[in-house]
Amino acid sequence: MSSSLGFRAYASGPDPYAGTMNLSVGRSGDRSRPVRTESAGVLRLMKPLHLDDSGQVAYFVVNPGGAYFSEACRMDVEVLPGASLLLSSQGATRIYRTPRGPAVQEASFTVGEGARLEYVPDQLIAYRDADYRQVTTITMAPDAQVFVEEIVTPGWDPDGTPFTYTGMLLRLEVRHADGGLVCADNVRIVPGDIGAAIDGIGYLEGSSHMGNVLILGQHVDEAYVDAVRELVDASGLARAGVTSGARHGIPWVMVRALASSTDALSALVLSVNEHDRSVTTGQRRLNLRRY
Amino acid sequence: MRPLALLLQLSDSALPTGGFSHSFGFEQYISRGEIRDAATFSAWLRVYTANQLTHTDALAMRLFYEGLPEADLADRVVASTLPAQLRAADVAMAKRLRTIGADALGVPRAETELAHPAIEFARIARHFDVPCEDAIVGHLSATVNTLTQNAVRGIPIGQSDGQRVVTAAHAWVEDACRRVWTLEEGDLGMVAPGLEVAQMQHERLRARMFMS
Repeated sequence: MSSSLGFRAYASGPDPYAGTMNLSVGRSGDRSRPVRTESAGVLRLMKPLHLDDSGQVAYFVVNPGGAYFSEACRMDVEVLPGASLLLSSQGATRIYRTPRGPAVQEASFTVGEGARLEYVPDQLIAYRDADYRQVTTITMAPDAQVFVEEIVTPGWDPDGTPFTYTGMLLRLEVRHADGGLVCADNVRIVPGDIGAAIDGIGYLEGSSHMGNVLILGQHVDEAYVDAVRELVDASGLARAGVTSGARHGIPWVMVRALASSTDALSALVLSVNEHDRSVTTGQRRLNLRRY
Repeated sequence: MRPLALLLQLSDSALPTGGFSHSFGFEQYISRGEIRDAATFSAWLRVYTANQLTHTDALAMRLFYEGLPEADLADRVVASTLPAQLRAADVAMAKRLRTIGADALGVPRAETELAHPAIEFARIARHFDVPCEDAIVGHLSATVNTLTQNAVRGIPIGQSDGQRVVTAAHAWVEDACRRVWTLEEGDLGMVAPGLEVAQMQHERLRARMFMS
């Protein structure tokens, strides 16, 4: 079953991408290993790492300029059955002014049977006059595990004047391998439409950063959701919510939080990830800064 | 039946859809002390109208009128309504409206998944040949009225203050009606983050008057 209501890709034309990346990892014995690694243009993949003895393979994406202007980038990632991938980025993604149309990132993840994906990029910063569209699609087997997070700072201005014009659309949809739509997160931060302030009620509410965590898999049960709620309570963040659901046989839980620093949000993300690992792979707490 | 008469019936706050028991998140702002009078409620309602009422309610109605397959529409609306209390509220209200449509108004009962009251409103309105935009204005106005009545009880604010909010909201509903034609299918379910965080937090609000 497949809905006709999908997110459309924004990039178009014969050669629409300034950067592309195509990564496939598979399981071989106790370890996950690259099967295909291709990257072109402004996106580059660092060498694969094994950060611990779990067998998980880790990749970091480098965006040399560290910047998108009015560019489009696309990532296609496949985690084959039984494999485990950690995908992160080296440094923040920075979106500067985009006079020729929005900067676009499209990402597509396929996570096979018994496979595991952790997608934990560094924060995304949108500067003054930036217009940014992000479309992420995850297709997962019902027994796969997925942990994705993002931290975004919309409306940051180098002059120190916060919250000038920003348009930001962040779209994420998760589908069951058979095509059924499990959940879709469609965040739009364009407060200028109604003359509202980006830090006003309903939008960022006095904060400058937004963090989202979405976890899917059969391990996400009631006790798991309760544990996430406790971690959110312990974070002390006043604007953090947790909700959960299940559709097409795949349970999920989501955390959305607003805060005034990347550190406050990363601490929460890492705590939730640590809990996730404790009930799945037994891996230790992630520390991306060491690599 | 004249379209106007049908819209008046569907927009009556006495219509038993259960809307009186939902705040769609504004009760969380009351508990934080951030909604405390007509002006602060009004600011929330404006953002709510420009986001959820435009990108979910109005757009779902437009797509229903345009004949998009109903199963796909329901699937997308349910999947993109992340806060659990909102999903439950939408399905419960959709069920009441579908029953009213079938039992009281003679609209053929749909077999599709219950997803959202806006879709059921559109189903009834289209059956009686109400134009799409009028149906959108009808459903959004009814929702704004119900939410304001809930604010009158919940904050509380005076009835006259409430009517001034409803008056101001006519322009926001017009905005929604204009913007809905500029949206695309992928825009269905777009949210503003602060609104949604409050809707999620409401799941854990201890003393509450509203179910969402």
